[in-house]
Amino acid sequence: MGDWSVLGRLLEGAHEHATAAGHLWLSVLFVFRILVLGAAAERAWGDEAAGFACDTQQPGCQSACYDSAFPISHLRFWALQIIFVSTPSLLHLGHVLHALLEVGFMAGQCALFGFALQPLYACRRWPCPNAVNCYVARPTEKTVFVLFMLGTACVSLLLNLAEIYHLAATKCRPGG
Amino acid sequence: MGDWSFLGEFLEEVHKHSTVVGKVWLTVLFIFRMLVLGTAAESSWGDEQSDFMCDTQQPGCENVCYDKAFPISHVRFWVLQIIFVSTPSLVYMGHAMHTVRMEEKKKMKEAEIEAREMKNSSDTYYQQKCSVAEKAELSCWDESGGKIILRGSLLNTYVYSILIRTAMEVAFIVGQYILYGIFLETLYICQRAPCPHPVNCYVSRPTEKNVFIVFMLAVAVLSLFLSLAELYHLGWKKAKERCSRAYKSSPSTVPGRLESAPQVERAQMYTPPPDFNQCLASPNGKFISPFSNKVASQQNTANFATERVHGQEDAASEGPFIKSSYAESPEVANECAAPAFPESYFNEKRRLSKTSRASSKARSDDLSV
Repeated sequence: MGDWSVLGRLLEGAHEHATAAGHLWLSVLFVFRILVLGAAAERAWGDEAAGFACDTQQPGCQSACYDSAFPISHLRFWALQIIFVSTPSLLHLGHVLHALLEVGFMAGQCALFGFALQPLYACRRWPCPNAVNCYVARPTEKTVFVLFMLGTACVSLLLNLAEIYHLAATKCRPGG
Repeated sequence: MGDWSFLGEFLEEVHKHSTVVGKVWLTVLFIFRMLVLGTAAESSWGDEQSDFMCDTQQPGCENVCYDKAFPISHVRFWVLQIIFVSTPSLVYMGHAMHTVRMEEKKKMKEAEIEAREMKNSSDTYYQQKCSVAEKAELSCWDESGGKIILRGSLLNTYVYSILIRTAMEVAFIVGQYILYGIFLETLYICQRAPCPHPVNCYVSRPTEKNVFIVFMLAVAVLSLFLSLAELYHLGWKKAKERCSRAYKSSPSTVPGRLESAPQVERAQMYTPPPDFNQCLASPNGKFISPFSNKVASQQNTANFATERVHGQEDAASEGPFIKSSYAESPEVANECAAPAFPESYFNEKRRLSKTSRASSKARSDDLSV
């Protein structure tokens, strides 16, 4: 799943003087998101295209239906999410941008994929001659990870908001 | 198998500041769970779906039957198990690091105050500042010795982390049993739309998978046992310390020695952090340079007075727990420590600093002792 160690080193440097919430956010990011992505989710999504079976013999229909069902794979979506969400820390662009990106990606995920994957995807797309039943590979396992990643994104968002609050409180306190 | 180095580095730090049983638990985690999972179990489950054969031509039937047979693959289940079981230790580590950071900040502030007040020197003023400093002595961080001393909220966090870890372990073992039972059968009979009728499906490599399932289950039970042993060990040690404290507490002798002994000796004998005097004498200490011997010994006197007052509860929690201390002057450590620390807890020399997470080398911003 690529080499996350570069991002890791950069983030560690950027977070040296972070608050407790900031350090916790970093740990959540590394352990619950990057590690789970690489060690678990990647395997579960490994055969998503090969295991996507449609009851049709029409050439190209299966590919078109897969493309319609998953415009972007969850894995790639989460990789982009992690990269974008880490960027404000790296560029010291502020926690608000960080929170906005997190919310944006979570909303995007819900809009694109919903909360769960159904085993059956009914597809009506050219060149399929008729409505075609397509079956997603490992839908239950994928749903587990979708919910897990959504949960960790929520936790990250909460930590980020806690850090914003903490920093604001420190600045607003007289002499703080 | 994904990048376990992040989790590995965190857990390495936990490893350095754990009790003996905790270290064994972590070793079991690293070697028997993570390593086996990554090197062996992964490849055994590699073709679990592609070789999951059903005797049907119905498109989609194999997919849905595999999904029904394995809602979540064993390997992913174990990955989540390892992550969730490790998390409480990370929380404890976070708390410990937070405590260390707070102590460092407090000491910095006190040093600044001391330096300022030294200019308007008067004995009574020192006494006041010593009383500020004595509160820091009751902290969990023994800076001069490089120790984390478990007491108060840090001890509570440690115990809670072990309790939660135990609960997670039990939950995952029970969960695995509910999902899959203990053994995998070769044949799985599936009835689910769009399969038109009950269909025979055949699991790939069932025997090899069973070997690993039993192995991982056994390791989980072993980890559970180690967690319970650690809890028992902590509880027993604490009770033992309390009993011995109840016998030994005779504060009358100690003040006598305090009055008669010269100041420096007094400081050496009764100062709770054993290497504190070494710390004071060190020319490299960043924030200890403003201290004078007079300040130090008066501070020690105040500390001692406080220690007497809080003697029982301090010693009870201070005694048996996590130590990672410099062994540069162990004889001083043994002399100075008021309660007797069991040697078995005398661990590695690396002390915890806020940036120590990723590397065990000393850093330039570590406070020197």
